[in-house]
Amino acid sequence: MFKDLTLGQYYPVDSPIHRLDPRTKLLSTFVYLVTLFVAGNFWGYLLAAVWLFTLIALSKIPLGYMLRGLRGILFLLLLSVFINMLFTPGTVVFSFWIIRVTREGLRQALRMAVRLTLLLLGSSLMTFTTTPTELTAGLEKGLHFLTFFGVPVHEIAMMMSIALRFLPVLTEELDKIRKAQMARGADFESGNFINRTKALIPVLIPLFVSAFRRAGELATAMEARCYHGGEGRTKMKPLRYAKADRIYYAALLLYVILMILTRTVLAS
Amino acid sequence: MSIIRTQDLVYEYVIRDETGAVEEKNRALRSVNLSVKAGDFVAVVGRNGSGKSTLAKHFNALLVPTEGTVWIEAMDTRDETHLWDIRAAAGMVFQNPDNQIVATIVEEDVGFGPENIGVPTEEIWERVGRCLSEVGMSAYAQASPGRLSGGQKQRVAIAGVLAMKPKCIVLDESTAMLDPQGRREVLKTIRELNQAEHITVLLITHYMEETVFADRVIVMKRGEIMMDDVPHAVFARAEELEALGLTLPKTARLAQALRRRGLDLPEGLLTGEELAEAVIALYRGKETKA
Amino acid sequence: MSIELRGVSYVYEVGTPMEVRSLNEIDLTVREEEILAIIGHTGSGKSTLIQLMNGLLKPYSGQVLFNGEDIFGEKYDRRALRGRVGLVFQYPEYQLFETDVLTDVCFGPKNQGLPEEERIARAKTALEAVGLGEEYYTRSPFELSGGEKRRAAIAGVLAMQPRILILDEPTAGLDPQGRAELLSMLRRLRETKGIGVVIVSHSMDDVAELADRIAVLSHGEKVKEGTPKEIFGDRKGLEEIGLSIPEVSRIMALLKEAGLPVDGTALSVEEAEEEIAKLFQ
Repeated sequence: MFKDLTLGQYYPVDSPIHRLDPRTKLLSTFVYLVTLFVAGNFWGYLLAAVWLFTLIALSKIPLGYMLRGLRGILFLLLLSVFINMLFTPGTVVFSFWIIRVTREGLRQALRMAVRLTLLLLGSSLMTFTTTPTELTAGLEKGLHFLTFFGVPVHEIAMMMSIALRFLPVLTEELDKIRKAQMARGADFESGNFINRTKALIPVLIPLFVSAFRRAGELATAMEARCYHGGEGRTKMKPLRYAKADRIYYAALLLYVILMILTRTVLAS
Repeated sequence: MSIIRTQDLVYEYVIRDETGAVEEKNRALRSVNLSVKAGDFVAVVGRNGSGKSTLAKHFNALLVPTEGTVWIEAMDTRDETHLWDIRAAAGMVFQNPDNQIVATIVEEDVGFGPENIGVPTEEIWERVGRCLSEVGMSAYAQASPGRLSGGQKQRVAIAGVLAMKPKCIVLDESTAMLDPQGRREVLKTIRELNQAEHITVLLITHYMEETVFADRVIVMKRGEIMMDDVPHAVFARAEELEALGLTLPKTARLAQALRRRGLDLPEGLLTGEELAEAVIALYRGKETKA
Repeated sequence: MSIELRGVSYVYEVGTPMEVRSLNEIDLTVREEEILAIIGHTGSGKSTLIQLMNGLLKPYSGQVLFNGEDIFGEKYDRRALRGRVGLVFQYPEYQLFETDVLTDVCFGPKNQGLPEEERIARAKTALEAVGLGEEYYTRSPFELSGGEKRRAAIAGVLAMQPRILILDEPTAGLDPQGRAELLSMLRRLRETKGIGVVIVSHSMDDVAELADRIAVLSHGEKVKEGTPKEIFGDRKGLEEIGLSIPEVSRIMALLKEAGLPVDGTALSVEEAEEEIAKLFQ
C-alpha cells in the first residue's frame, strides 16, 4: 500500500546538496515553491525546470528514482489535470456528450501538470537530501524566533522527528496485522465501499493500540534518558552556515531575479 | 560502597474509576530491602508479575516508592533536585528494541542522552564514538535503526545509556524479544562492560540461563525477594524455583540429577563446558583406578 | 491432509534493484498428526516459507499443493484454505481487536460464513483447547496477561478448525511457565485432534522437546531434514550455519568428542542422565 510512497524518504548519498545546511534547503524550497506560482509563461517554467534539474543532477539522486516517487500521487495529478481540462470555459476544440474540452482548458491543464510535477519534485528533493533529524533541526533553529510568540518550536520539531522515525515501523506493522487478519479469513478485496471500510476495523484497532503502546514506551525511554524538553539541551550536530550555503544563497537570489525578469521583460 | 540501596520499599499501583476514586490498589512491591555493591553484576529473576520490572523502574526514578526509600549513590529518588543526576547515574535499557531508539541515525540516537543533560558538542562526539566502539557498533554509526537486527538495536540502546557515563546499567528484560544470537550479543556486551569498565549491572530477566555469569541472583515472587545468593546456591534450591514458576538451566538440572545418582561432581558447575569437563575428569579418574 | 511444497522459490521486490531471493527451490511436506519444526537463523527465509503455505504469499516459481491441488490454480479458494491451514504470526496478541475475548475468537468463523450458533460453539471449543475457561469470555482481550493474550490469539485461529496449524515463534517473550503451558497445549492439540503442527522457532530447546521432524533452512535453502536426534547429533554442521544445538546435546557432544563411550544423541535431561550414569556403573 505504501510501497510507492518514496516521497519523504532520505536517499543516503554524499553530494553537495546533501551537505547544505537544512535551513538553506528549507528556505530555498519555500522560495522555489513561491516562484512556481510567480512563473507565468513558458520561459518561467523553463527556468524553474532548469533550476530544479540542475539541483537534482548535483544531488546525485537517480532521476528515475525521483520520478518513481511521483507514482504514489499520480492519481491526484491526473485528477487535477482533468478537472482543469474539463471545467475551464473558452473556445471548444473537442466535445463529446457532455464533455467539452477547450483550448484554455488544455493550456490550464498542461500548466497545472508542469507546476504540480515541479512542486512535488522540488519538495521531495529536500526530503531526499535531508535526514528527518536535520530537517527538524533546521525547522527548530530556523523558526526559533516563534518561541517569543509562545510557539513550542522544540516540542513540535521533536514530535515531527519521532513521527518520521516511526513511520516505517508502523507501516511494517500495518502489513503484518493485515496479513494476520487475512490468515483469519478476513477479506479486504471484495464487497462494496462500506463493507471494505468495515473490513479495515480489525486492522486499524490493533494498529492504534500498538501505536499507543509504543508511544508510552518511547516516552518512558526518553524520560529515562533525561529528556525534559528543549531547555538546557545541547546539540550534537549544531547548525552552522558554511561557504557552500553562501554560494547557494547567491545562486538562489540570481534565480529569483531571473524569474522576475521572465514576468516583466519576457512577458512583453 | 553500595550504589543502589532500598529500605522497606513498597509500591502500589492505584487503579481509579472515572470519578477519580480509588477502585483498587495493587501492591507490586512489599517491603523490599536490597543493597547493590558498585561493580557487581546482579541478576533479578521472577515470573511475569513478580514485581521485578516495577523494582527496576525505581532505580531510574521512573517510579518513586509509595512507602520506604530508594537511594542511588546516596541520592534519594524522591528528591526532585537530583532527578537528572539519578537518571544519568542509573541508565536503563528496556524490552522492546524498537521503542527506545529515538533518532533516525544510530550515532544521533547515542547522542540523545548527552544532548539532554547539556554536554558540550565536542564532548558528545567523543562520547558517542567511544560508546559505539565499546558495544562494537562503530561500523553502524551512520546506519538507520530499521536496518539493524534486534541484538544490534539493543547494543545501540546500551551505547545510548553509556554515553551518559552511568555508574550502573539496569536492563529491564532487554533480552526477552531477541533471538538466541541477539541475546548472546547483548549478554557478552554487558559482561565486558562490567568486567572492563566496572559498571554495575542489574539484569532483569526470566531466563535462568542468563544468570549463570552473575555475581548474585535475586529471585522475586509477588513483590518480595525470595532468594538472594550466588548462582549455584540459588540453583541448588531447584524445587523451590520450580514452585516459583522458574526453570533451572538444563546444565544445572543435569548436574543435580547426576549428583543424586551418586556422581561426585563439584559444586558450582554452571556452563555446559564445565559440566562436561567435570564428567570427563571423573571418568578418566575411574579408568586409571580400574 | 497435507501441504506439499514443490521446488518453491520466492523473491522479494521482483524487478527492482532491491531484489532479494528469499527462498530457493524448497521441497517440503507437512502432514497431519505430526509436529514439524523449521529452524534457521534470522533472515534464513523461515517466515516467508510459512506464508507460502497458506497462500498469503505467492511463489515466484514452483508449486504449493494442498491435498494435491495447486493453491494458486485458477478459481482455487484461498480464503477457504486459510481455514484449513491456520497461521499464527509472531506476537499474535497484537491482532486482537474486539471488545471481548469470545467475540474476537468468533472473527475467524464469522469470516468463514458460519451461522452464529456454530461460530460461538467453535469459539468456545477453541478457547477450551487453549485453556481459557468461561470466565474469560466477556473479558477485554487487552486486559489479559501476556501469556493469556497469546493463547486467546491462537484460539482465534483454532476456531476456524484448521487441520494444520502453523506458528511463528510461538513462545517468544513468554516466561518459562507460559512457555511450558504453550508447548504442552500444542502437544495436546496433536494428540487429541490429530492436527498437524508446524513451528518456526529460534529456541532449540522448544524444538528438541516438541518436534517429530526438523527442517533446517540457511540462506533460503533447505540444507537438512530429519528427526531431532539426526539433526542435533550433528553439532558441527549446525554450528557452521550459525545455529546452536540444545544445551543437553552440546554436553553430550563434548563428552563424545573427548572419546567417552556415549552415543551423543540424548536430547532431554533424563536421557542424558541415563547415558552418563551408565558410564559409571
